[in-house]
Amino acid sequence: MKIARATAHYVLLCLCSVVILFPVAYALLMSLMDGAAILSGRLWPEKGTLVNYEAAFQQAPLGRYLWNSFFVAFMITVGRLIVSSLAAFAFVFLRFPGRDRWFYVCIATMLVPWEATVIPNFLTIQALGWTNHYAGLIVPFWAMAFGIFLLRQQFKQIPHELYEAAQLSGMGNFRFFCRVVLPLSKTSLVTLAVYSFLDAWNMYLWPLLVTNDDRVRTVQIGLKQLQTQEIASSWGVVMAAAVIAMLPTLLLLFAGQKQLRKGLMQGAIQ
Amino acid sequence: MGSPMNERVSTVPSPAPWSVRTKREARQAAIKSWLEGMVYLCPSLLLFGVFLFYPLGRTMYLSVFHTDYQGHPTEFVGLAHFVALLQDASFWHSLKATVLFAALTVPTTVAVSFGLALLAHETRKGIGIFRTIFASTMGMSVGVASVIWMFMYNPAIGIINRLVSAIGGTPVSWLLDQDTALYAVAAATIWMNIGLTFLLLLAGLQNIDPSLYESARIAGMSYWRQLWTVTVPLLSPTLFFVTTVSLIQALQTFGQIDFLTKGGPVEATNVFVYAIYREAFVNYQFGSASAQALVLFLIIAIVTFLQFRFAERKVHYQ
Amino acid sequence: MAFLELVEVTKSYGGKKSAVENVNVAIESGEFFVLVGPSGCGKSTILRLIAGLEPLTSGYVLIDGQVANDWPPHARRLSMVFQNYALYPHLTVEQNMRIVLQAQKVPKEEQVKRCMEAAELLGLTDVLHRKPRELSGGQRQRVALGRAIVAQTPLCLMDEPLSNLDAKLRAKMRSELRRLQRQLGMTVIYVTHDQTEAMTMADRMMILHDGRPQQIGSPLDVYNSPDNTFVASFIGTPPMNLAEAHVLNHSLLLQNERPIRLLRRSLPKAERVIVGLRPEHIEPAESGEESMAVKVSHVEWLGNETLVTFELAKNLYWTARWNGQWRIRLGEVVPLTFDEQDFLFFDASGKRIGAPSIKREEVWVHQ
Repeated sequence: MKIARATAHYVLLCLCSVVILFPVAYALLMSLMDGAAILSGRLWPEKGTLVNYEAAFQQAPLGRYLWNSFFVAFMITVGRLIVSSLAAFAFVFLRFPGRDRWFYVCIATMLVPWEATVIPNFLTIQALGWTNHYAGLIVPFWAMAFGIFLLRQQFKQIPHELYEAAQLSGMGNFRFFCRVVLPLSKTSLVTLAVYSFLDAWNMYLWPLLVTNDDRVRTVQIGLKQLQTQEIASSWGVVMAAAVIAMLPTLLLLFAGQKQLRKGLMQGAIQ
Repeated sequence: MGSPMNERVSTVPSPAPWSVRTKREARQAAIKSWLEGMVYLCPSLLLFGVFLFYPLGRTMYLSVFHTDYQGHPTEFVGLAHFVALLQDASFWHSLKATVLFAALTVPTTVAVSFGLALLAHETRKGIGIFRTIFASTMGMSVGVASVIWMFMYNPAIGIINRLVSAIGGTPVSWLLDQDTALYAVAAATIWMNIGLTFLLLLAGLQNIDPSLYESARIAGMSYWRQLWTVTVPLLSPTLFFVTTVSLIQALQTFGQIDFLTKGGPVEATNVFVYAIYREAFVNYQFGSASAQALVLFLIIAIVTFLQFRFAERKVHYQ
Repeated sequence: MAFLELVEVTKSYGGKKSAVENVNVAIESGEFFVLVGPSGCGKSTILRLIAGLEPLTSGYVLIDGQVANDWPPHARRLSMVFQNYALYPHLTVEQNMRIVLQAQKVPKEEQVKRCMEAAELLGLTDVLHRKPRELSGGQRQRVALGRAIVAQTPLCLMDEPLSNLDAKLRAKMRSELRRLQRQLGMTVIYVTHDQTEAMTMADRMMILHDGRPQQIGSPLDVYNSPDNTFVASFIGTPPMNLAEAHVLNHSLLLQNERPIRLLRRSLPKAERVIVGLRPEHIEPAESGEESMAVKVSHVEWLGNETLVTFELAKNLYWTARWNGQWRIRLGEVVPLTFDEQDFLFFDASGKRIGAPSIKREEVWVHQ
C-alpha cells in the first residue's frame, strides 16, 4: 500500500516535470539540429551540431545583448539594494518627525501601476537625453517600494539593544548601518538581489521604448530582433539564442534558490 | 541593621533638570535628526518624485489635453478623451480581451501551482530535484519564453501542430487564428508564471504546523478531507496574496503580446497595456493614451479593492 | 490480557543509532502511565509509535492482544493531545472539538451533546464560539484536552501537554487532569520530562534514557528502589547524593577521603561501588550521635525545609534536606547522622547491587 502510493507519487511528479520542462527541452534539442533537420520534423538530432550557436552570435550581436542585459540588471540590483536599504534603515532606526508618514508615502507607491507613469517617464528620459543610454535603462528603477518594505521587515528583527549599545559606544549611524545591520540581513539582501536581478533582466516594455540601438539593446528585445530577422528560415539559430539567453537566469535561480525560498517563507505571510 | 542607603554626604549641587534646557537647543536637535533621516530617505524620495509622482500627475494632466507628436500638450479638451474611449468599440474589445485573459491565466496558474506545491511538499527521496524543476520557469524571461512558444506554435513546423497531426487532428494556426490566439498566449503565460507561484505556495505549505496534520490523521480524516479542512484554510493568506498579485500582473501583461501576436489578429489579443502602447508610441496620441492609462489604473484599483473587500474575509490569519 | 503492550519495540532512523531500543511494557486499562526522561531520550518517539504516526523498525505493538503494527492511527481508536495543542486556528473552540467527531461520522446531535459535556467539564462553556488566538494558554490546553475527551476513545496519548504553561497553572492542571482521567476512566499514556509531574500523576512510570528503558514501576517503587544510578539521580528533588567508594571491612571510603563506618549493614562483595543516599536521609545530629562532621558550603531556606550543601570530599558536594528553618552559617561545621539502612549500593557500571533486573514478561503474540 505504501509502495503503491509512493510509486503513484513519483509517476505524477515525473509527468508534471515532463510537461513543465518540455518547452526548454524542446528548445535545447532544436538548437542542436541544423535547418534541414528541423524542417524534416525530427524530434531528436541525428547528430548534434553547434552550428546554430555560432550563427546566433554572428547574425546578431548576441554577446552584446547579453552583456547589456547583465550590466543593466546588475546596476539596477545594486542601486536598488543601496537605495532601499538606506531608506529601510531610516524607517527602522532613526527617529525624526514625519517618519511614519513618509513610510506610508513609499508604500503608497506600490499601488500605482507603472502604466500610469510610463508615458511621462518616457518623455522625461527623452528630455534628459538618456535614450539609447544605460542611464535611461537603469536609474528610473532604483527606487523600489517592495524592497524598502522587505528590508524594513528584516531590519525590524534586529534587536534594538544592538543599536542602543552602538550609540552608547559612540558608533555613528552610518557605521552601524554598514557594520551591523547589513551583515545581519544577508538573507533578505540576497533574496532581494535575486528577485531584483531576475525582474530587471525580464523587463520588456521599457527597454523597447528607450532603446533602438544595438549598442544598448537588452537581450529580451534582442531576441525579438533576431526572431523577426530569422523568421521561417533558421529557427535553430533562434532556439540557440534562446538557450544562451536563458542560462544566466537559470543559473542565478539555481544558485539563489535556497535563499529565495527562505526569504519568500519569511515574506509569504503578508 | 546597617546604615540607611542613599545618605547624601556631599555638597555638590545636582545637575539641572531637563526642562531647563533651552528651547533653541531642543529645536536644533530636532532639525538635526530630521536632516539625518532625510539624507537616508533622499535617494528613494527623489527617485519616487521624479519617476513616479511627477509622472502620475503629468499623466493626469496629459489626459485632458490634445498633444503633439512630441508629447507637448496643445489644446485643453477636458474629458473628451475619456468620453471618446467609452464610445470606442475598440476600447470595449480591449477590455473584454484583458478580462478574458486574466480569467484564463490567473485561476489556472494558481490551481496548477497549488497542485504542484502539494506534490512537491511531501518529503521523499529526490524531491529537491522536482522542486527545482517546478520552480525553473521563474528563470525563463519573457523574451526567451515567448520565442520558444512562438516556435512551438509555428503552424508548419512547430511541435504542437505536429502532435495534433500525429493524433489525427487538423493543425491550427494558433497565433494567427482569431479564435485561438488569446488562448495560445494565455497558455504560454501560465507556463511562465508557474515557477514563482509554485515557490510562494510551497513556502506557504511548509509554514503549516505538521502536528495539525497528525491530529487529523489520528482523528481519521481522509487525505482529501485534510486538504479541505487543514491545508486550504491555513494556506489561505498565501493563496490570497498569490491570487491578488497574479491578477494585477495579468492586467498588466505586455511582453508576450508584443512578441507573439502584436495585439492581433484583428485585435483578439489587444489587451489594455498593448492598446496603450500602440496609442502612445505607434500612433503618438499621448493625450488619449494617458487617458487610457488612467482608466487602467482605476480598473486595477477597483479590482484590488474588491479583492480585499470580499475575498480577504475568507482568509484565515493566525 | 493487557490493554496495550509493547514487545521489543525498536525504532531507528536510517541506520543510525536507534532512537528507542528494546522497549517492553504492558499497560492496563484505566492506567495513567507516564513515560519520563530527559530531552531526547525517545519518549515522544515511543508515543508516536503507539499512535501509528511512524512505523516501527522492529518489535510489536499489541492492542487488546492483536498485533497492530500495520494499523493506521485511526484504526487504533486513540486520541492525542499535542505539546503545542494543534488547534485549528480558523475554527472556533466548538468546531475544533467537533471536527474529530465529524470525521468519524458521529450524528450531529451526539456531536453537540458530547461537546457541551466536555465544555462543562473543562470550564469552556463561555468560550465555545471563540477562536484559538483569542484564548489564554491554559484555555487552549483545555480545548486540546476537550478534543481528546469528546473522541471518547479508550486510549489517550499526551505529549508534554503542560510544558507550555506557567508553573502555577501547571500544578493546578496536573491535579485536574488526573481527576478527569479517573472520572472518565480513560487509559492515558503521558509523556513528560518533568520528574515531579511523573511522580505526582503516574500509576506507573517508565524512565527512559538514550532510547533505552531504565525502569518500570510505581512512583514509590522507583523512588525507593531505583534500578540504577540514572534512575536514582533522575527521580527525586533534590537528586540523590552519589559518590564513588572503596569497600573495606566494616567501612566505606568515599572518594578516597571520607571514611564512613558501617556496623549494622552488610556490605556488598565488590571492591569499588557507587554509594547513594537521599538528602532527606541525612539528618542533623544531636551531640554524641554524629556519624560525621562536615563544612557547609551553601544553604537554601524554602520556608518549610532547609537544604544544606556540604563538601563531602574534594570537589564532591552532597545535599541534606532538613525539615524546618535551621540557622546555619556558611563555613560552619555541622554534625550529621544517617540511618545505615538508607544507603543504596550500585556497581561501577551504575547498576544497583541487590536489585531485581528488568522483568521480561512472557508474551504470546497472536498473529
